[in-house]
Amino acid sequence: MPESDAQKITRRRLFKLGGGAATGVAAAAAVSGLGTRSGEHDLRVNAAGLQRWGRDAGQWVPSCCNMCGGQCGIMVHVVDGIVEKIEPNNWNPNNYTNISTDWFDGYTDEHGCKEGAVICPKGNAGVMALYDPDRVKTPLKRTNPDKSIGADPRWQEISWDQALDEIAAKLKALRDSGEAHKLIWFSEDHSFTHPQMDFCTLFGTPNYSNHANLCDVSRKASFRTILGDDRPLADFIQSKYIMLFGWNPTSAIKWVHLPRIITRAIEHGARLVVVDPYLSDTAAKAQEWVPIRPGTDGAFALALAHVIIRDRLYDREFVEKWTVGFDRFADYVKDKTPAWAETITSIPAATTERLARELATTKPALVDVWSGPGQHSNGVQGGRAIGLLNALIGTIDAPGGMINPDKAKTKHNAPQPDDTAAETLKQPRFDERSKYPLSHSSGIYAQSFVNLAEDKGPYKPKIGVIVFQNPMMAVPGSQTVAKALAKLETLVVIDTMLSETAMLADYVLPGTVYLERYDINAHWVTWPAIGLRQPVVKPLFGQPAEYETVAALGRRLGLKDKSGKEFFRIGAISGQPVEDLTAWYEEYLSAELKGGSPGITLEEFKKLPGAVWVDRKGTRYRKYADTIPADQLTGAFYDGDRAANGTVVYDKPPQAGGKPIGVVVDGAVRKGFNTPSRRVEFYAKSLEGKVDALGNPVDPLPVYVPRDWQPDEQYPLYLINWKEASHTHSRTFNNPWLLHLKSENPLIIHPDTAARFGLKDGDEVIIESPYGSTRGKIKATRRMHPEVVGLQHGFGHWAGGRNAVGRGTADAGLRPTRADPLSGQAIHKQTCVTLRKA
Amino acid sequence: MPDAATEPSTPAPAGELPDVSRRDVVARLLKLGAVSLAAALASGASLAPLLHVASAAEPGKKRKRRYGMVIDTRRCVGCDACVAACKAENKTPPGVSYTIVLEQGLGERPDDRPLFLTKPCFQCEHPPCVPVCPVGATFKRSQDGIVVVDYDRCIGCRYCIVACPYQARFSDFGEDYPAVEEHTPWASVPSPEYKQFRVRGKGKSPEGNVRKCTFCLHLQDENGEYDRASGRWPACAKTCTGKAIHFGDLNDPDSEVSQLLKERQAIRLKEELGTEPNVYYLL
Amino acid sequence: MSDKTLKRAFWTLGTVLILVGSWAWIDRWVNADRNTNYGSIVPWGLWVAAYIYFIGLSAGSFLVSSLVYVFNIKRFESIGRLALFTAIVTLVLALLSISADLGHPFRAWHVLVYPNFRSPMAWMIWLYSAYFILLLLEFWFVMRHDLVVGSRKPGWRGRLYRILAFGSTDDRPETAVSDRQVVRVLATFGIPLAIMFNGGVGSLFGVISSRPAWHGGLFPILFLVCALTSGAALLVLVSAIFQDGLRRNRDTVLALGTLVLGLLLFDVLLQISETLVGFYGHEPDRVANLRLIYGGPYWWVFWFWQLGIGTLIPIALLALPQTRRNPAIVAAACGLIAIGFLAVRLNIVIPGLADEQLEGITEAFNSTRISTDYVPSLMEFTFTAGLVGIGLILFGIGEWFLPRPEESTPEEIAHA
Ligand SMILES: Nc1nc2c(c(=O)[nH]1)N[C@H]1C(S)=C(S)[C@@H](COP(=O)(O)OP(=O)(O)OC[C@H]3O[C@@H](n4cnc5c(=O)[nH]c(N)nc54)[C@H](O)[C@@H]3O)O[C@H]1N2
Ligand SMILES: Nc1nc2c(c(=O)[nH]1)N[C@H]1C(S)=C(S)[C@@H](COP(=O)(O)OP(=O)(O)OC[C@H]3O[C@@H](n4cnc5c(=O)[nH]c(N)nc54)[C@H](O)[C@@H]3O)O[C@H]1N2
Ligand code: SF4
Ligand code: SF4
Ligand code: SF4
Ligand code: SF4
Ligand code: SF4
Ligand SMILES: [Mo]
Repeated sequence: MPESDAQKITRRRLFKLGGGAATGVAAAAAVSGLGTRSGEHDLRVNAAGLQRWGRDAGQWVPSCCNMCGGQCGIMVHVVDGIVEKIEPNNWNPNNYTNISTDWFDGYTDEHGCKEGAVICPKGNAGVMALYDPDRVKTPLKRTNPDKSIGADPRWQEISWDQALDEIAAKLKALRDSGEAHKLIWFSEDHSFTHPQMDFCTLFGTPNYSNHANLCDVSRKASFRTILGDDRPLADFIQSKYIMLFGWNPTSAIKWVHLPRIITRAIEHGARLVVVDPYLSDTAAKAQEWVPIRPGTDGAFALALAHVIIRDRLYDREFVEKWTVGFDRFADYVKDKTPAWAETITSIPAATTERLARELATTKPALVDVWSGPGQHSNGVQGGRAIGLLNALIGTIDAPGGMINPDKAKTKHNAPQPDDTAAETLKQPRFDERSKYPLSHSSGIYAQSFVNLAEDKGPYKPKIGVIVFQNPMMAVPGSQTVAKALAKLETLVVIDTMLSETAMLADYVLPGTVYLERYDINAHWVTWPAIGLRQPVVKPLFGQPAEYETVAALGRRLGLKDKSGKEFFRIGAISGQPVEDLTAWYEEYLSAELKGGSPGITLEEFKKLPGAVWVDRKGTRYRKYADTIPADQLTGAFYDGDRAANGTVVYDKPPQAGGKPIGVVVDGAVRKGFNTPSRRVEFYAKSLEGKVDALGNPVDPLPVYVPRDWQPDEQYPLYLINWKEASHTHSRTFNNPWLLHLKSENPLIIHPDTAARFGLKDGDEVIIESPYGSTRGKIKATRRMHPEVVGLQHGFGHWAGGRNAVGRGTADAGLRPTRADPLSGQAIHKQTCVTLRKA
Repeated sequence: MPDAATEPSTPAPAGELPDVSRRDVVARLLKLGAVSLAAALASGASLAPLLHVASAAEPGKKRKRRYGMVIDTRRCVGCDACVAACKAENKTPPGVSYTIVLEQGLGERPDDRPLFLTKPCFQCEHPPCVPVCPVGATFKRSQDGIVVVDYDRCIGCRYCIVACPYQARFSDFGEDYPAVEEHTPWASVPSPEYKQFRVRGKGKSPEGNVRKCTFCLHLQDENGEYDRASGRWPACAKTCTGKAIHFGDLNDPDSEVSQLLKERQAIRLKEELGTEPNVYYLL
Repeated sequence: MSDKTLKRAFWTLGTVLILVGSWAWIDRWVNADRNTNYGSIVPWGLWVAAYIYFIGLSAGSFLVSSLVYVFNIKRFESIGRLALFTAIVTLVLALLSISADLGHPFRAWHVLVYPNFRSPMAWMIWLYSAYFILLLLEFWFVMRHDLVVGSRKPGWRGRLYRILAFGSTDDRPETAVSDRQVVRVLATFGIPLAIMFNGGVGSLFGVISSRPAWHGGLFPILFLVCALTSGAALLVLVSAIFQDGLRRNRDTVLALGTLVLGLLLFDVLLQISETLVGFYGHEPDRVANLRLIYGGPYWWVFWFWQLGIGTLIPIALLALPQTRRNPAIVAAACGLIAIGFLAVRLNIVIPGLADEQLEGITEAFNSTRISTDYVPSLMEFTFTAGLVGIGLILFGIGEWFLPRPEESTPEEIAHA
C-alpha cells in the first residue's frame, strides 16, 4: 500500500519528536555518567569553613561542666568567641573512673585516660544553656507588689549600677539598724560558695544556707554517724556484688564515670541488685530488681543484717577490731527476721534470706544508698542500717567496697568578721538548725520557709538572697515557699533564667552560665583531684559573674574584716587593692589553690593538662588502719588501756580541748574512723539522750521506725520521684536538646493498679494529695511496685522559659514543706496520693 | 529482644580485595596538584573556596575500608548522651536525630529488664535507601561504605526515608531551635557535616533535604582515617557514658570491632531484608 | 439544575477555592514545610496522596480518550477532547501537588541531569514527562484544525487561536486527516505510557520491601484499575457539565456510567482479594496495616469516605434501575466515585507509612515530626483545596475559549 501524504507527514513529525527525545536522553546520560550505578560522586568541601570552624581552628579550652553538680571535666571548642562544641576532658578522672589504678592504667599526659573520657547528655547540651535566648540579660526590678504565683511581676529593666545601688542601700539600711541577721541567703553548694559565705560573715548574718540539705544530708548524716565520713564513695569497678538502695547512678548520673564503672563491674562478673520501688534505669542493668515499699528500706536492711548475723556470715575480724556496739545491734536485729520485714517491705522473706547470703559471701561486696530512702522522714536511721551492712561484710574503705575518699583540699581563707558583724552573727540561725541533732552546715531550707510563711522562728527576716537555686520547684510544698518568699521585704534572685522563684523576686540579677565564669571543683573520686572551671567566653550580656556581683555589693557596703581590710577589694595574694572584680577573684582563687593540695597558682593551674590537678599518689585503701606516727603521739591522751583494742587516743586530754585522733588496734595507734569511738559505730553513743527537731528521743541504734506518712483509704498510693539522665533537677527544662531527649514525665503506674483506678495507659489524670492536686498523664508498666506511682522530677514549669512552661508534672506542691527531724534533709519523696481520670 | 532482631549473624568477613573503583576526573586533577584548576572546573570561579575531594582512597592506601559499629547492649545505660552529642556535633535541627536510643519495654518474663538500643544509621552493605533516589543524591561511598547525601543534589522527595527499614533518615523541615531563630551567636555556627560547614538559612540546604548519620565522616583525615586520640572519632562513640559504642574498620581484622565480632555473639536488625547492616549489637 | 447554574457554581467554587488556597500557596513558598504535618515517619502525606490521585485521574481520562482516538469508538466521540483536556488539567494539578511536596522543588530538573536508573521514582518522572509532552502534542493536533479555522475570527479569540496554532495555517482537509492520524499514533503510544507510568507509581510503592502494606505484585495493577475507574468517573462528571453538558453528552454519560460501574466492581474485587490475602497471610505488619485502615484513627476515611461515599452509594445509584437511566444521577454517582478515590489514595499512602519501622521509635525522642499520627494540617488541606480550585478554573477557561468540535468542518468529522 502506497504511503499517503498524511502518513509521511505523520512519520516525519514523529521522527522529529523521537529524535529530540533521544538527544535529550543521551545528554542526560552524559552528564550523569551512566556507568556509575550507585550514583557515587564527589561531595564538595568547604575549605574556608573547615579552616575557620574545623577542629584545628579556634581554641579548645579545658574547663568543668556545671549542667549538674557533677563538675565533670570538659573541653570547649571556642571559635571567634563562640562556643562551637563541648567535649569530654580526657584528663579529668571525674569523667572516667573513681579509683586511681583504673585511671592511671594507660594514662598519658598527652592523651589522658586510656579509653577516653565521657560526658552525659546534659554536658553535651551545655551550649544550648549558654545561648538560650530566654536567659535573663539585664537586671530586672519588680513593679507589681502582688507576689502571688502567676502574677505578672511587671518587670522593669534597670542598669547594673541602679540594681546594685538599690540592693546595697537596702542591705546597708538593714545592717545599720543592727539587723544584719535578718538577711537570709540561699546558694548552690559547689559554685562560688566561699565568697558568698564570706559576704554573710562580713555582713553579719548567720543565715547562710546552701542546697545540700535539699540533696543528700540524710545520707551524710547516716554515714557520718556510722563511719565518720560525709560521703563515702562506692568502688564499683572492683566490686563483685553491688547492692543499691534507692540510688540510680547510671541515670541520675551524679558523676559521669558512674555508668562506665558500674557496667564494667557487671562485665567483670559483679552482680548488681537494685532495691527500689521503681525498676529504674539502673535497675534495668541489674541482675536483680527488688521492688520495695517506699520508706521501708531500713527494715529490709535490718532483716539482711539479721540473717547475716544469725548465720554468722559477717566479717568477724573487721567487726571485732573496727566496730563498736555490735552486740547491741545484734541483739536489736534478733527479731528483725525476713518474715518480719516482709510484712513491712513487701519483699518475700525467701528473697531476703537469699540476698543476705549472697551479699555476705560474695567478696568484695558493697551496699550503697542515696536519695531514695534518704528523702523520706525516716531516711537517716534507714541509711544507717543500710550503711552498716558494709561493716558486717567488712568492705569499708577496701577495694570493691565503700571508700572514704581522700579529698583534695583548697584553702578557704575565710575572713574574720568585724565587731558590728560579730554582734549580729551571735544571733541564732533563723532555720533553728541547732534543733536538728545531725544537721549539716548547709542549714535547713524547709524550716526557714515554714518559719517565714508562718511567722515563726526567732525573728522575722527582711531581705532574702537566692543564688542559683529554685526552691519553688526544689523544696517540698511550693505553696508554702511562695508564701514565705512573699513575706520578705526584699527578695533578690540571681539566676540565669526567670525561674519560678525569680518570678517572685523584687530584683532579678542575671547570673552566668558556667562557661562564662570560674570555679574550683574538688572532684568526687577516691583520691585527690581538682578541676578548674574557667571562663571560655566572656559573659554574653556583659554581666558580672555571681562572685563579682557579691564582691561588688560588698564593696558598695564597704564591708571590712576584723583587721579593717576592705575584704572585697584587697587582693588575697597581693594584699593590694584590685579594682577589677575578675582580677580580684582570680587572686582569691589563686590563694585557695596555693594554700590547698595543689599548692600552685591559678595561672600555673590553667597550664596543667586538661586544667586538672590529680594527685599521683592515687587511691589509698584501709586508711583507717594507718598507724599514727610516734611524733604525733607525744602528749597524746589514751582513754583507757594503751594496749587494748578500742582505746581511743586524743591529741591532748579532753578536758584541755583534746580531740580523738586515733584508736588502738592490734597494739598500735591507728587513725581509725572519724567517729567519736574512732571505729565504725553500730551503736552511736553520741546520740544517747539527744532529741530530734520534733522533740522525740533519738535512738543510738539504727532502728526502723515507719516513715510518718502512710497511705490510707483516701490517699492509697505512694508517690515517689527520681532523676533521669536527660535532665537536671528543675533547671534544664528550657534546653531544647534535652527536651528532644525527654519532653514529659508521665506518671508511672503498674498496669494492675491502673486498672484498679479504672485507668489505662495514656490517660490524663488528676493526682491529688491532702496538700494539693495536679495533672499528669499515666504510663502503665510493670516497672513499678503495684502500691506506688512515680515520676521524673523537674517537669511542670510555669516559668523558666518558653520551652519549659507547661510540660509534664511537678509534684512539689503535693507535699508539705518538711525536713527530716534528724538531719534537716528536705523530704521530697514522701507523699500519698489518689488518682482520678481528668 | 525486639522481633526486629533475628538470628545471630556470622561475623564480618575479614578484608576485601582492594577496590578498583572509578576515579573521578577531578580527583585525578587533584592528585596532580591542580587544586585551583579542579576547583574552578568543578564549581566555577566564584565558588573558589569549594573544592572537590576525591571519593576514592589515595594510592598506596587502596584497601577499601568498611566502617562499622559494634554496640554493646550490656554496656548501654540508655542515657542518650550519644543522641545529644550527635546533635552537638552535627548541629541537627529539631526533629532530626541521626541516632536514637530505642527502649524495649518489659517482656512477659518476670526477670525481664528494659533494653536500650542505640541506633545510628547502619550504613547497610545493601542500602535500600540508595537505589530509590531519583537523582542519585544519596549513595554508598566505595572507599569506606558510608552512605551519604549530597545536599546540593537532593530534591527532597523523601523517597529514601520511605525505603529505609530502620528509620535512620530524617527530613529537615526547616525548623530551628530558639538559639538559631533568635539569632544568638550560636546561629552563626555551621554544621561541619561533609566538611561543608553550612550555616542554617531559610530555603538553603540542608533545609528541605533528607539527612542522616554520616559516621561523622567530616572528622576523617585526608586519608579517610579517624583518630580517636585526637578526638576525631564519631561524636556518639566518643561521649558514650557506658563506653558501649565501638567504632572502627570492619575490614581490618585487627580492629577492635572485628575482634569483638570474633569473640562475642552479635546480631543485626532485620537480617531478613538482606540489607546487611554494618552496625552490630553485642548481646 | 440547569447546566448554567452548574457552570456558575463551578466558577464561584473555583474562585473561592483558589482564594482560600492562595494563603497556603504563599505559606508553602515562604515557610517551606514548616506548617505541614507530615514528618520523618509519615514522610508523604495529603499532597502525595493528591498527587497519585490526580495522575490516576489523568491516566484514566486519557485512556478513555483513547477509546475515541485509537479505537474510534464513535459513541464517545463527543467527549474525546474533553477527556484529553481533563487528562492535561489533572496532570497539571498532580505536578503542582508534588512540586509543593518536594523539599527543593526548583531542583526537579536534577532528575533529568542526574538520573538514577534504578529509581522507580526517576522512571516515573521521566515517563510522565514524556506523557505530558505527548498529551500536549496530541491535544494540539486534535485542536489544530479548529485553531487554524478559529484564528480567522475577528477580535481576541482570533488572535489567541493564532498564537495557539503556532503558525500553522494549513486548513486543508488532508492535513486534518493526517492530524487525526498523528493523534492516533500519539494516542497509541500514549496507552502504554499511561499504563506504564501509572504502574510506575504503583511500583514506586511496591518495591519498598520494608513496607509490607505496599510490597506486592498486585500493587501496580491495582493502581491502574484505580486510575481507570477514577478517571472515567471524573470524565462522566465533566461531560455532564461542560461543552453543553448533558444536553449533548447524555448518552455518552449513560454509556460511560456503565463502564465506570464495571471498573469499580473490578476494583472492589481486587481490593477484597488484597485484603483477604493480607489477613490470611498473617504477616504481622501487613495485618497491622489493614487493621490501621479499618480500625485505626482514620477508620472513617475507609468506612465513610472510601466505602460509603466512594463505593456503596455510587454502585447502588449506577446499578439500580430507578436511577441508572437518569444521566444527572449517573453523573452525580460518578462524582462521588471520583471523590471517593481520594480516600483510596490516602489509604494507600498514609497507613502504609503510619507504623513504627522499629518498635519504640516514636518514643525515642520528642518531635512532632516523629509520629505515626498524621492528619494533614490546615495549610495542607487548603493547599489541596486550592489545587481543586485551579482545576475548576482551568476547566472553566478551557470551556470558555477552546474551540468546540461543532466549529470544525463537518467533512473533517466525516473523514475521521
Ligand atoms: N541526670 C541527673 N543526674 C543527677 C541529678 C539530676 O538532677 N539529674 N542530680 C544529682 C543529685 S544532686 C543527686 S542528689 C543525685 C541523686 O541520685 P539518686 O539518689 O539516684 O536520686 P533519685 O533519682 O532522686 O532517686 C533514686 C531512686 O530512689 C527511688 N526511690 C524513691 N523512694 C524510695 C524508697 O523509699 N526506697 C528506695 N529503695 N528507693 C526509693 C526512686 O525510684 C529512684 O529510682 O543525682 C545526681 N545526678
Ligand atoms: N520532688 C523532688 N524534689 C527534689 C528532688 C527530687 O528528687 N524530687 N531532688 C532534690 C535534690 S537531690 C536537689 S540537689 C535539689 C536541687 O535543687 P536546686 O539546687 O534548687 O536546683 P534546681 O532546681 O536545678 O534550680 C537551680 C536554679 O539555678 C538556676 N541556675 C542554673 N545554672 C545557674 C548558674 O550557673 N548561675 C545561676 N546564678 N543560676 C543558675 C536555674 O535556672 C534554676 O532556677 O532538688 C531537690 N528537690
Ligand atoms: S554528670 Fe553530666 S551534667 Fe553533670 S557535670 Fe558531668 S557531664 Fe555535666
Ligand atoms: S540504615 Fe537506612 S539509611 Fe542507613 S544505610 Fe541502611 S537503609 Fe540506608
Ligand atoms: S530525599 Fe533526596 S536523597 Fe532522598 S531520595 Fe529524594 S532526592 Fe534522594
Ligand atoms: S556517628 Fe556521628 S553522625 Fe552518626 S550518630 Fe554518631 S555522632 Fe551522629
Ligand atoms: S551514650 Fe552510650 S550508654 Fe548512653 S545511651 Fe548512648 S550508647 Fe547507651
Ligand atoms: Mo541532690
